[in-house]
Amino acid sequence: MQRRCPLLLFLLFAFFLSSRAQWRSIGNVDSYVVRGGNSVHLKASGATVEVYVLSDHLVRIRCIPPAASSQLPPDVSRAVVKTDWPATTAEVTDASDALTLTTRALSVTIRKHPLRIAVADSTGTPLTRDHPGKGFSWSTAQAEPGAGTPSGTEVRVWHLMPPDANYYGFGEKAGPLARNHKHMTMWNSDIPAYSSATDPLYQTIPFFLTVRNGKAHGLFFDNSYWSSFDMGKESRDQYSFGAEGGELNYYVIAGPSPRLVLQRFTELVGRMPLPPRWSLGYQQCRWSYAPESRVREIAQGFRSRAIPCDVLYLDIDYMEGYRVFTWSATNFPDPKRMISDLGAQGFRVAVILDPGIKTDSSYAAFRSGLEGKHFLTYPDGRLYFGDVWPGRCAFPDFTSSAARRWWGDQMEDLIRTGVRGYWNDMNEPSVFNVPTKTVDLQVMHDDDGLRTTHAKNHNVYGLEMTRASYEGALRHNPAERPFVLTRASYAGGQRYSAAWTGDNVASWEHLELALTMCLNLGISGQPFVGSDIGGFIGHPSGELFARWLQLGAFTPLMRAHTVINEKNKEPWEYGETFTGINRQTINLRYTMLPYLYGVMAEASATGLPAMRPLLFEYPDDSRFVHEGSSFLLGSDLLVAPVLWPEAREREVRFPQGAWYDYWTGKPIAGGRNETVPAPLDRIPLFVREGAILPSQQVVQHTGEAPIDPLTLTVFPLQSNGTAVRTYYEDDGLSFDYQKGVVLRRTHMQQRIGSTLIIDIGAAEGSYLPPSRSLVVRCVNAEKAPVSVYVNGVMIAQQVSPSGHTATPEWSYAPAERQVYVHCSDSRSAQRIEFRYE
Amino acid sequence: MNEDEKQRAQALIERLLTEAHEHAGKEKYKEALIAIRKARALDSANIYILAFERQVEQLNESTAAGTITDLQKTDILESLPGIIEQARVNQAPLTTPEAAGEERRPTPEQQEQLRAARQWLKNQYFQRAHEHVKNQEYDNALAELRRVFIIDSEDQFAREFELKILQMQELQRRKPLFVSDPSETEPDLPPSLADEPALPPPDKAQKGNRLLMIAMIIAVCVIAFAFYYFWKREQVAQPVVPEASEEIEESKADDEPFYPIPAGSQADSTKTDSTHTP
Repeated sequence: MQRRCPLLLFLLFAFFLSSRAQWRSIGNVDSYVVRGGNSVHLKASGATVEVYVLSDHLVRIRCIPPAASSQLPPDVSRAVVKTDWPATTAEVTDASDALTLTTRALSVTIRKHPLRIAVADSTGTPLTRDHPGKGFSWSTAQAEPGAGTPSGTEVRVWHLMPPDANYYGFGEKAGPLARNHKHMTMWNSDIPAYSSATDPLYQTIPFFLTVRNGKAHGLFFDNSYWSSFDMGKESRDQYSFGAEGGELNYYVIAGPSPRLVLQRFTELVGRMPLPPRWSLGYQQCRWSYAPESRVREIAQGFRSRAIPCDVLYLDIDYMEGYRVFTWSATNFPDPKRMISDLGAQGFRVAVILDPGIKTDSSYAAFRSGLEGKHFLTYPDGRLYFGDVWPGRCAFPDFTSSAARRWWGDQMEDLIRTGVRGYWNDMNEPSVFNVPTKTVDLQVMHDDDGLRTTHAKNHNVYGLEMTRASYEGALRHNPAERPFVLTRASYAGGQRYSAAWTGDNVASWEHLELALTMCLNLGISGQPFVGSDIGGFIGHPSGELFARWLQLGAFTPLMRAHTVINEKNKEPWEYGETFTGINRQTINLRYTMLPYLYGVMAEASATGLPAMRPLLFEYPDDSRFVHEGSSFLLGSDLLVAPVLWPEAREREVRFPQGAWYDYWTGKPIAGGRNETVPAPLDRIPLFVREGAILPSQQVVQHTGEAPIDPLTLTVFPLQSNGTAVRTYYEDDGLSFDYQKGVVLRRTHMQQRIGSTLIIDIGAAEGSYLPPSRSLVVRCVNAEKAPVSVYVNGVMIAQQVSPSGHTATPEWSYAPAERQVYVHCSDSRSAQRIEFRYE
Repeated sequence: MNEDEKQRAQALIERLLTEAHEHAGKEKYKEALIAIRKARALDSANIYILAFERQVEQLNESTAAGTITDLQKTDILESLPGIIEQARVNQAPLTTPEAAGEERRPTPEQQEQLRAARQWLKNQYFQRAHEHVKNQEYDNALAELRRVFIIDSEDQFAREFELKILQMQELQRRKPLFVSDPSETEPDLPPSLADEPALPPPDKAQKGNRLLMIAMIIAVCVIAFAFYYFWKREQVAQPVVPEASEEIEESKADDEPFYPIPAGSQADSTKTDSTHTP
């Protein structure tokens, strides 16, 4: 044994050396050229490095390893949509040991010996710093078997990691909100019944937000190969990111607020187009509602129980033998008529679209795909086949513009039949009969003419499928905004689709996961998110479903779903008590639609998430660093869902400022934690002081009736001051909003001593909603005002708080401690004054 | 669930899925469904097992209703390999085979009940075998022992009994005229019902029969003993010289018990190697 010890030690040492020796770190700068005052081209150790200052707040760093440096690869991205940045001139300082490019907000320092890059903000605070010993590196060893990349193509960079920095985003990641000390892989994967430790999952968004000392910046690593982020797991003083192929191509985005970072990131990768309003209604899904009679029964189930619902889904059993774009003649003999009938009841129908095309010579989609050469092939031209639901399938090459168009054309019949929702599933892409669970990595993609492997295109497959679906729907039904829902995607996926968190489980753990996953997706640029309410796999208790539905009422996508051969999971399946609670929850969602629609309009215009972790709005409050159990919907609504069984109260961490309990209207002092009641039938909900929350009457579906009355609930300022809010509305369906056919109003409230003034701004934009009443409701009125004025004219007080009259009137409800003003909703500005003395 | 339980569950799921696929291929959909549902009980979160179940249900229902076309059947059958593969790949058993009702491990109390019930059943078979031996119906006696082996293939007592019966059978074949009263070689009785503490309570008629049978057996034993005694005396007086092989057989039959008595079947349970000697 003693003789063996040195040998063992030697072998261990050799193994250690070999494992370390696979990375080659970039050395000294050999040559460099400064171009146009805003970019630098450098050569070092055979590698090429380019630094671009795209704007005052945005820097791009592109490192190309020696293996690819001889001929620079084409500079293309599936994520980035903005490339025409206005010329920004940085101040370039060329010293012997370093080059510095300085803008108003950023400075990039490029050390020459060895080449190391640091980005700092205008105060000199470092945002990113290459690790002195490592920096940009590339592999010298053979890549892992199956990686699909040749030797020497792996790229990675190590940055110094300050101990007080916290990291968020990274797309779809299960587990805690802050991702410090985690190693995360980016490889779209179909993992049903995942856990908090499962990684990777369905979507890849290689972007993260760093928050440190109340300041934020972002980093987007635009590389679609198998990639990974190690946020201090390998070593607490450094984080790293890299990929098995391609370039080390990343963007550093300055803040200092998380809002600004998200706005700038989404300016780069694109923002969500405004979704149709009906897609914000309640959506009911299961695998599968079939046959037709069952779908009608479900529809009737909602209407007969007065539970609002806008969308019914058809899962894979609507097809003939799982052939996408076909209808099962047995289950759905007359789909057009069924959809038309459902439409008359106010339902829209969404169908699942899987990418796998069954290899069947009598199947039109297979034939036309084959003829058009739209399927993936091996390098020698052989078709790639993989097993999915229908058995042996070919897979469309969505990276080809021709294939995307072909796919969109296949959708035409569905659209003519009346389908309005396009649920893109299995698009990781998932393949059943191989251990890798996906397409062979050596399979070739057109990649819009570049001819690259699946290793490069795997993570963008879902994104490009949603693009094909969105563009196809738009082409064949240009008058309406498409609604596409996807399981897999990549950075920028919000341009084409909403996303849900995949095949979750009916458990309390998954309810918690759903929230943090949605929050991190929002931080990663995807605002239109939700989870399968009630859990896809398994059957929830009535309590779990009710609590999940309450959370779902405040996620932009509100969809319940369940797996095949599982018990029914509609809102009325848990007994009368829960049916009542669930109805109330969905009613709440529908009354909140004017607010939610405004939040989505803001997300569409700015890229801000709809669901915001508290740290997003309050980055300098250390209580929110790990707070993933409550969130803000928009800016004004603090949602604290109950995520634990049998809980009838919960602690809420209130941000600074004053808040109101939505249910009681009672004020709550901010800046502290408080335990609040959480009865089974109510989600704890709070509103920021100064908010003017728009709401509407309960409807059974969004198309049932126009908003009438529009209620503006005023949560009064508690001390002298002014608060401004914007109201947004449009037709909810067409693209006319892009032509200015919108209704935008700026509302303002002012407290001056005992007088509260509400200014309803004049209507902007040309959208004209049908004539309707306006109710201005002021909460927390301890007593009735002495007088109320509308546009300077004192109005009469009525006894009943709910009357609709032609002339303005006001009333006071002492039990609710609320003052109501009823008037018509004209386009002109109105001033309402509540005088308490 | 520990690693061992997990591995056993996975192996069982694997087996059940294969079995179900084979059944489905032979259009034995009900059998396939039974296997799939057993697998589902072990891994209820595996959506591919659920999908497999649904596909086979469809085959079963539509075949029974006569509504399935060849194309539809082919479609479904073609979909199965991929689904099964995913069901295998995504295995994450949530339940042990025991908890799922597969390979249930009984409690000590249940184990004791099970043992007693088995012993009671075996005793019945032994008694019947014994009756058949008495009547020289060796085939029937062997058939009873086969029933014992179904319950307990390792039963040493039954093995030896079987051997003896085979020997008797062989003797009967070779010396068809040599007829000895089976009671001469009457072994001790197999364990009585009263020996078993947790037996299902027999009804009164059964009890009466059994007592009668015991009394008869004792009587037969006494008579056999008497016959044997006199026969032995005669043999000593007029020895027969048998063929070599027969000598061995006969001497064996004389010196050794006809079959051994299983432990616990005697009133004195410590007397496990008791022999049938005059």
